[in-house]
Amino acid sequence: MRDQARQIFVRLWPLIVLLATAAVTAQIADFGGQLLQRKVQLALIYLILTVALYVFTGNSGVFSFGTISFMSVGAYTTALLTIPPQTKHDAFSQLPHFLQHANWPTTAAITFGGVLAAAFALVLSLPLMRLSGLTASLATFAVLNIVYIVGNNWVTVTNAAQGLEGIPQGTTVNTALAWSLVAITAAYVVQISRYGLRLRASREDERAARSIGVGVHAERRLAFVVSGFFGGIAGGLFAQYIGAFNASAFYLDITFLTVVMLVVGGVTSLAGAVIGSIFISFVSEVLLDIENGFNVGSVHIPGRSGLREVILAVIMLTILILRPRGITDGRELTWPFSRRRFERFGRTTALEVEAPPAEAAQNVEVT
Amino acid sequence: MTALLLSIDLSKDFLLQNLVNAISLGSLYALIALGMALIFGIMRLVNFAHGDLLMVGGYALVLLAGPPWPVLLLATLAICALFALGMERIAFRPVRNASASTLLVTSFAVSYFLENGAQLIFSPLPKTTNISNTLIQSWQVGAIYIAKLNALTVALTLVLLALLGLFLGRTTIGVQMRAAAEDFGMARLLGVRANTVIAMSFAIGGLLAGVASFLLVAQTGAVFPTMGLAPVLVGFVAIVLGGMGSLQGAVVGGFLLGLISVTLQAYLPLTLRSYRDAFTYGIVLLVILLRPQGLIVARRERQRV
Repeated sequence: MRDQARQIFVRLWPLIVLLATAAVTAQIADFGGQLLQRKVQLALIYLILTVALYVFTGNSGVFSFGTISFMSVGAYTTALLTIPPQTKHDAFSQLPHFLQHANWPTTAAITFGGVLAAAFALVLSLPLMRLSGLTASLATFAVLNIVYIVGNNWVTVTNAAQGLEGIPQGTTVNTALAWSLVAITAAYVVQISRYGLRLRASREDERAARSIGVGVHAERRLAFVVSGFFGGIAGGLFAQYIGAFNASAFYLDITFLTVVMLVVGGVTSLAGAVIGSIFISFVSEVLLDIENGFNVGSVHIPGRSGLREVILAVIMLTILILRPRGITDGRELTWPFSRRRFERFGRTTALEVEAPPAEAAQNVEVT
Repeated sequence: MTALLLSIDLSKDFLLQNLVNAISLGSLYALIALGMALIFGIMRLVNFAHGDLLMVGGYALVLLAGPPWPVLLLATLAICALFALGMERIAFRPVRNASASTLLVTSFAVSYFLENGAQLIFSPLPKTTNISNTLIQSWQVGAIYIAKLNALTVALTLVLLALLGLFLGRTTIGVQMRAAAEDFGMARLLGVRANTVIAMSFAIGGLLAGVASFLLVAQTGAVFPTMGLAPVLVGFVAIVLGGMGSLQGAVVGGFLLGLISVTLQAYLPLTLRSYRDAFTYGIVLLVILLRPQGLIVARRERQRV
């Protein structure tokens, strides 16, 4: 009995560590004023976004450009449902009747945005998940472009390139943290579930996975829908954080930023998504200050636009070349005092290609 | 409904004029797509940084402005080829054996680096240049205008296609490149040097991008850090349409995309015209779903028994 409890604890340890990491990050907000609070909110929104990207890309090995389209769906949904009717009447009289009068509470609107984004992901996944890896990536890239173009031109709903404004700024550190915890937990549950394990098997070797009865399509579809849901949630939180946006907020820049976060952290582990997003958020904020110019003593050093992006690109290239599996080396942060090797390195990474054959065989027996 | 139809010109002259435009636009697209297909064929790399080579070429044209345009063109070509070789050596060679996804992400980072590097050095504001006044003039044939620049675009494309055909068919390195595109592992076993063929494909891709850059800048006259985005999206769409990794496919895809863009621009009802590119990507999705191997199947992609 005690042994069983210990096993469950060891099994859940990587999750506990990551939940704690997110919670500690949120506590940083208490040390500063409103500006710091906003930075922490944004970091947590990026965390959810990166976790959303990870749920599909990390588990399946197929790069998706779709996460940002889901974010866009969530952001527009939340914005349209929560902008006060009076503002809509004054500024966006072209909106359809039912949106004119919608005045939803924040959490309901954000949740609904997530559900709508998940539904969009489900519809997309029906044809797209049948495609092989690279082709599926390119198809999601086409989707990203279509969503961007529609958002930028649809006068009656998205207000075309002018975008939406007057969105109540309801996102707080606590709501962002709460959704982060939900996202991390959901991602971990997906990953250790039967579906997740099968999906990760297909990532390592699709043919071998198929030969032992993994259908691949259904597994990818599930991960894609979960990814869509949290992409939508991140979008809703972002809308309520930023207050005003247009379609170009959900295009290549933010796509690049989330990809950097995941790649730098480590594509194949949830720890990579969480740590990578927090790390890059921090670096990115520091670089932003440098980019805006700063003072050394009495000398003002002027900023240059583009500096932050150049350095982020260099960080990403360095990681890709020198440590292609990211800061975490694609591993979860497992219980450090375990006697059994496979527990120490995490169930899902113990069987990876690098392990010498004899050892790998041993691990299979243990599992 | 009648108002919708009235906004569309169905005359024969309009049709012919659009056809002329489509051919010259398609030539430019084919040049861009060809460079990307060459690299994809050998390395399985969808090079998102290809468009930024056009941007590099653009800034070269601005900074070197002065000498007559043929000299300027040659200098731009050299600079684009050097940048292409540089990105291969620094960024792509170390990750060469990684998965197609990793390569894609790497090219994304390279693109971002170049784009923002240009922004850092030259500021985000566009710079203008005037390459040649004679090239902007047009010939008039009946009611149809043919810009000299468009004629040059088509002519240059045809010449380059012929030269590339000769190079790939007749020279040793060309044959090796085709062999590598068909089966990289087998080619290496037979003594083809991986570094040489890959570097060569990047150099040629760079040259093609240089030509495309020259033609583009001669037409628009403006150079800015993000100017590579539109061309790389064009190249991406064209190689998917034509069949990834097939050179003929890239050319066909480029011309086809030129035709699609001009047709949608000319004949879509006014209210839908701003969605033109969304329709283009919709067609891309359809092609991916219904004919994932593209319109022309690269030999390597065929099922082996």
